[in-house]
Amino acid sequence: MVGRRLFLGGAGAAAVLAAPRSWAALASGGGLRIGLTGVVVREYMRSFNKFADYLTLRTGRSVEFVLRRSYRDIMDLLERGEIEAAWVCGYPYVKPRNPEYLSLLVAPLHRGAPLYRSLLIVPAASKDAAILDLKGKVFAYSDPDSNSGYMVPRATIADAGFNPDQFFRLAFFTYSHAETVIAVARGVADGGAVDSYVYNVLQKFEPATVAGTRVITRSRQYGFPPIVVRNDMPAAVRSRLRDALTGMGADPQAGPVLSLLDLDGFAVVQPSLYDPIRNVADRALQTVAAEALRP
Amino acid sequence: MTRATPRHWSLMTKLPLTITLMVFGSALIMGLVVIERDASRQAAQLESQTLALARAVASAGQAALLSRDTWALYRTLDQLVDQKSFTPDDTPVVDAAFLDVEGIVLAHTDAAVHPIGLPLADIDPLTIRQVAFALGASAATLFPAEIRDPDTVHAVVPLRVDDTDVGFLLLRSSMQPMQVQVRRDAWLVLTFSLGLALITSTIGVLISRRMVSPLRDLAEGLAAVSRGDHAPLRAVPPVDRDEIGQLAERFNTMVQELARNKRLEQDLANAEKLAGLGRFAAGLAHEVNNPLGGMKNCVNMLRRRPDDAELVRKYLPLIDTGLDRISATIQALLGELRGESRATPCHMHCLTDLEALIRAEIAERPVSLEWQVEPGSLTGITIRCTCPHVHQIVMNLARNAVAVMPEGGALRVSAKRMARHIRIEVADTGPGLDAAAQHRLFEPFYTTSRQGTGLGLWITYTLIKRMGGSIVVDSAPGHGARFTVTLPTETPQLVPQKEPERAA
Repeated sequence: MVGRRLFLGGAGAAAVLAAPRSWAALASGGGLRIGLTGVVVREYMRSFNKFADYLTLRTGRSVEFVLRRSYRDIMDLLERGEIEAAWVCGYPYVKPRNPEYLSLLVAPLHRGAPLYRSLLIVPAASKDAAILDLKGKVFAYSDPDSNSGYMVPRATIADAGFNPDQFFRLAFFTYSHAETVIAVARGVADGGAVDSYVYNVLQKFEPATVAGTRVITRSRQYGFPPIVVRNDMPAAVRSRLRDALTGMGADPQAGPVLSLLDLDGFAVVQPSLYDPIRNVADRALQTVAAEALRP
Repeated sequence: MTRATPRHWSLMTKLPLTITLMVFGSALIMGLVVIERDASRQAAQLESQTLALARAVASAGQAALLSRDTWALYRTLDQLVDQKSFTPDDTPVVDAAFLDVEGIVLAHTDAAVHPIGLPLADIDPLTIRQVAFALGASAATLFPAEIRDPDTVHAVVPLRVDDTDVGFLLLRSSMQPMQVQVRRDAWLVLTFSLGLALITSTIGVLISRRMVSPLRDLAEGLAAVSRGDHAPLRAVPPVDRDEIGQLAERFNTMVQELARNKRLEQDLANAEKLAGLGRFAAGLAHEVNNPLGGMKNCVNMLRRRPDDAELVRKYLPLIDTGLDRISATIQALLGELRGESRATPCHMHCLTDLEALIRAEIAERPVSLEWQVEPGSLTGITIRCTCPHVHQIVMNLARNAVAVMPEGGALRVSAKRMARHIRIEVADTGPGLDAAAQHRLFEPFYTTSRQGTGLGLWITYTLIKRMGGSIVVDSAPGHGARFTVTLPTETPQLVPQKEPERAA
């Protein structure tokens, strides 16, 4: 037990940043590698090390988290089988794949429900009150595959009759909801769209940064970014992982980890929870396609 | 002691002041040189640091700039101005920006003021000139002073890919922390150098005062010596064995010698006085003794034969003669001077009467007389004296002159009117006088001839002194003698009468 903790503590930090091939080979024998995306504050290393330790304890397999810059990087790792599971956004989950190699495992419970919103934020001193006020300004998206940080604001713009690609003077990706909050707080962007969960976590742990921003609109609720696993994951491993996660809410030992993650636990949810995201993405991307085909 | 110009100041002031000024002056100059060097060194260091940092940031941001990854580009810059991680060794970056080749902001640390996607240059003419300079830069360089914000170092690094400009990095660092450091260093250097100067000049002042103080004692000592006040002189303690110490030692030796000489002089004068008194007593005894011996013989003879009338008739005149002689001697010593000293003004033309008397004195002797007294020139001159006294002075001198020329010679007598006195000269061509004789010439009873009483010149001398005049003799053996008498024509008052009584 002690030896494994040391092993994980020592190797974890290096491993999550750049997992060597030899390590991947070793872990594939019995380890579990879970990809993290910008739907969480990946920089909270301490939280995720504790989370990994907890899951290692509960599943009996050495669990490690793997970080990459974008959602797409993590999806590539999943597709190639370099990781077995990932905490991804709703949109990458609902994105059509052929053949489908992923399946929904659990969804986190934040403030009692597996739901979250997309928040439109502006600098605290800004007078803008709606997304249409940001026309011709600088906007920060989190990730091109993010529901709350990309699809929702673009769909809103498209619904209002504008081409999202030409609406802003300049738009850029931060590849992280937390970074979007920083970009808006520092005035690099005049507005940004973020995940309400990340915003709440930052408000709890970094109130000074959040104080530089102001929420001007909230979207409807969507299914919380889920944890997905490869379909080829052995059923025993899958159920042990699912049980470990869904058991956290009732496990006093999981308390500190959940508190650091600002979650209430994990729950098994129906895939239909994510249908609205599919709908939003269609609206957001149709416009782009239509613009692209215009002569 | 200290007067208006430094030339009059004491060495005790000048030397310490000079030392202090020189030490402080050189300390100040050295301090300022060190400060200047420190300031320019720190400025050069900040410039090279700024340029190196700009190159590194430009290199780090190049990939993000090419891929227009705005957030990554911003993140490359924002670490520079993160004040939380600021240490004194860091370059104090004020702001930094990536521009594209048209001067459009791609990322700026001060994003709220310089929005992305807009030109950096606004209506501010300085910024316009800065952007123009930056867009023209072909290599990493610093902005020249004239287009730089004061108190900043401003660097531009062009980003080039395959000989194509893709953008620019501008980086500006503040000189203020450096200036604060330079000021702190300057205070330290100034405090240290002036403190050191204070210590060294204090030591210098103490040493110089210690060195100079014997000179002041010497000056005071020499002033006392020049006043003739060397009896109670204290010795100047020699401080060191240097030149001043040797001077002090020699001065002490000199003062001791002077004191010894003065004692010797006084001893000598006392001895002279006693010897003169002895000679006076001997002369007086001789003058009185000679007639006394004859008179005693006469009295003895008369006592043996009191009834011999022949003897009485023969001896009584002899006794009278002896008594007269003694009386004359005493008279010469006292009476002559006393009775006549109540003098009245005398007309000097009375001198003209003397020529006949002197010629009578010469009589048949082969002595020529040169008489240079012009009666006209002396008319109207009066002196506070009687004619007999003036006659006596000149006659005494003339008689002596005739007496020392038994084989013949020349006698010259002259009288001349000067500004406030009359000068009478009596010169002979006799054998002259040696130094010892000149020294004793005016003592009573001093004589060179058997006939003389030795009182003539003494009386002459006493008369002249009483008139407030002077007499000097100029003579050498074989070259005759010249007596020069000077008498004031306005004698303020006569010497009090008791003077001759004391001589008795």
